[in-house]
Amino acid sequence: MVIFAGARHALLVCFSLLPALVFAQTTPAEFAEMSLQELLTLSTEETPQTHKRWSWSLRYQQAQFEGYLDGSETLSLDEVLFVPGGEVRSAKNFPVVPTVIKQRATIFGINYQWRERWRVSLALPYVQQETAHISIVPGYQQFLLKTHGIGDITLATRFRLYADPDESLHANLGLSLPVGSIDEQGDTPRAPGEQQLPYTMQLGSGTWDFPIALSYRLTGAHDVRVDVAANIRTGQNDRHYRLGNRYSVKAKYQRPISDSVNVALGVELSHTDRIHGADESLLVATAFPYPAGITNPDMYGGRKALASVGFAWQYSADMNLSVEFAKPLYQHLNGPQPQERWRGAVMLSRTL
Amino acid sequence: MLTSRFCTHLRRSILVMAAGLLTLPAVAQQDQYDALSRLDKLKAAYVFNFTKFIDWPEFDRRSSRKIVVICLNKHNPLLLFLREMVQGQTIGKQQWAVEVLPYDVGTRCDLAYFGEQARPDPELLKEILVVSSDIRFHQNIATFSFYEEGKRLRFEVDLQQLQQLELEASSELLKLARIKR
Repeated sequence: MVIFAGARHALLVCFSLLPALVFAQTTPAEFAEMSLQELLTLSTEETPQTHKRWSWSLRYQQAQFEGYLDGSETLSLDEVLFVPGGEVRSAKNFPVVPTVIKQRATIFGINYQWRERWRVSLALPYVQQETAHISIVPGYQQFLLKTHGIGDITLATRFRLYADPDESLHANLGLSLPVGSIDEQGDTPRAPGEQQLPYTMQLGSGTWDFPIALSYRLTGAHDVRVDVAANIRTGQNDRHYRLGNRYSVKAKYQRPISDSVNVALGVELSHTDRIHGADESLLVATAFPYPAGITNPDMYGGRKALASVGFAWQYSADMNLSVEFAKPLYQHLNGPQPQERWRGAVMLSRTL
Repeated sequence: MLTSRFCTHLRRSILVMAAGLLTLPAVAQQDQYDALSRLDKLKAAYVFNFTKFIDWPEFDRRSSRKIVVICLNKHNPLLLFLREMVQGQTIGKQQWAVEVLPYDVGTRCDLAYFGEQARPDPELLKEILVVSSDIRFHQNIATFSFYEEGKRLRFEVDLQQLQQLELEASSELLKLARIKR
C-alpha cells in the first residue's frame, strides 16, 4: 500500500535495477586497488566506453491497488463501507472507502563511477497519485483525489565488496532526503474545503531514511541475482509519524535470448511495518476516529510475495531499455487495506 | 506554513547534496595516461600484484630491506604509470614500500619488467626477477611472461627461474598462473 508513499521503495527498486555501468579502469589508483583475481576478469579490449563514468536513467513506474484484504482474507467493498442503519460501525468498516489507487513515479537518476569499486547516484522522483473513493457522505458518494509533485531525493553509493570471474557482491547505502511534501491537501468529506490528505496521498516521508542493500550476482552459464534490501526510516516527521521500515529479498534469473536482449524472471518477498505515530489532523472526534482505513496508521504494512517478468534490450553500446511487470502471488496485509494488483516499470538508461 | 516547511526541508537537502557533489571534483582525477593502452595498464597492475605474492628475502646483498624495487626501461611509457600506482602502497606483513626506478646497470632492482623491444643483457639479470610483457620474448630470462587468452590477460611462470633466484611465490599466485613446461 505504501509503495510510493515517500517514494523510497520506488527509488530503492530503481537503484537495484540500474544497469551495470560499462566502466573500465583508467587511473593508476584504480588499478592499484585491484586484486589478481579481479585482473583476471578484465578484458584487454579497448572499448569506446573506456572513459565513460557518467550515466543517466529515466524510469517510469506505476502500481495499482484495488479490492481489500484483511490479513489474507478478501473483503468486498460492501464489507468495508459502513452504511448506517444496515450494519454496526466497527474498527474495520468506514464511511469513506478508497476503491482504486493509482500511483506513478517518473524517476530521473544520474550516476557517477567514482572509483573502480565505488559508484554514487542521485535520484529525483516526480510522483503522481490518484485515489477514487466511495462514501456515505452526501455530495461525496463518489470522488477522486489527486496529488503530484517532487518526491524525496535519494543519494546513494554502491561499493563492490567482492568480485571474481563468476560472482560478485555489492553493498548499497543510500540517504533519502525529505524533500517530498507531507502537507498535501484536498477536498475530502471530513469537512468543507481543503483538508490534510492521508499518508498514501503524500509525496514524501518527511523523515531522513536509509535505503540499504546487499546484492549478490552469479554470472556465467546462469545469471542469477539476489538482493537483500531494507529501507530504514528514522525519527518522526513534522506531522508526528514515521512510515514503516521495509525489508525485502529479491531473486532474479536472467537469460539472453539474442545478442542484445535478455529476459528475466524474478520473485520478491517483502515485509513492511505499520506507520509509527499518527497525523492527528486526519482524525475525526467520534468514537471511531478513522473516517477511512487509509487514515489509520495500523492499517499499513504487511507481507507480500511478487513474481515478475521482464526484458532488457541493449539498443547500443551506450543505451539500454528495460521493462518489468510484477504481480503479487501472496499478500498478508494489516487490514482492511487495499491490495496491490500489479506494478510495472519501463527504464531507459544511457552512459555518457 | 506549508511553503516554509517545504523550504526548510529543501534547504537542508540542498546543503547535504552540495556537500556530496563538492567532493566529486576532488576525486575525479584527470587521466593523464590516455596514451597508454589498456593492455599495458593491465600488465602494470599485474606486475605490482606479483610483488605482493613473492616472499622477498629480508636481507638482500647490500642492506636490510624495507623496500622492493621494480625497474623498467627508462623509455618505457609505463614507468610513470606504475610509479604512480605504487605510490603510498605497501606489501607484505612487513609493510615494505615499493619503488619504481629506471632500469640501469647500477640500479638495485628486485623485479625488472621488459617490453617487447627491450633486449637486456642476461648476465646482468641473474639476481633479478624478470617479467616479460610478451611470452614470445625473453624466454630464457623471464620468470613471469604475459600472454592473451580470449581477450583476457594471463601469465606464465617459470618455476625453474624462480628456484634459481631462490625466491618463493605463494601458492595463491601459482594457482592463477600457467606453469611453464
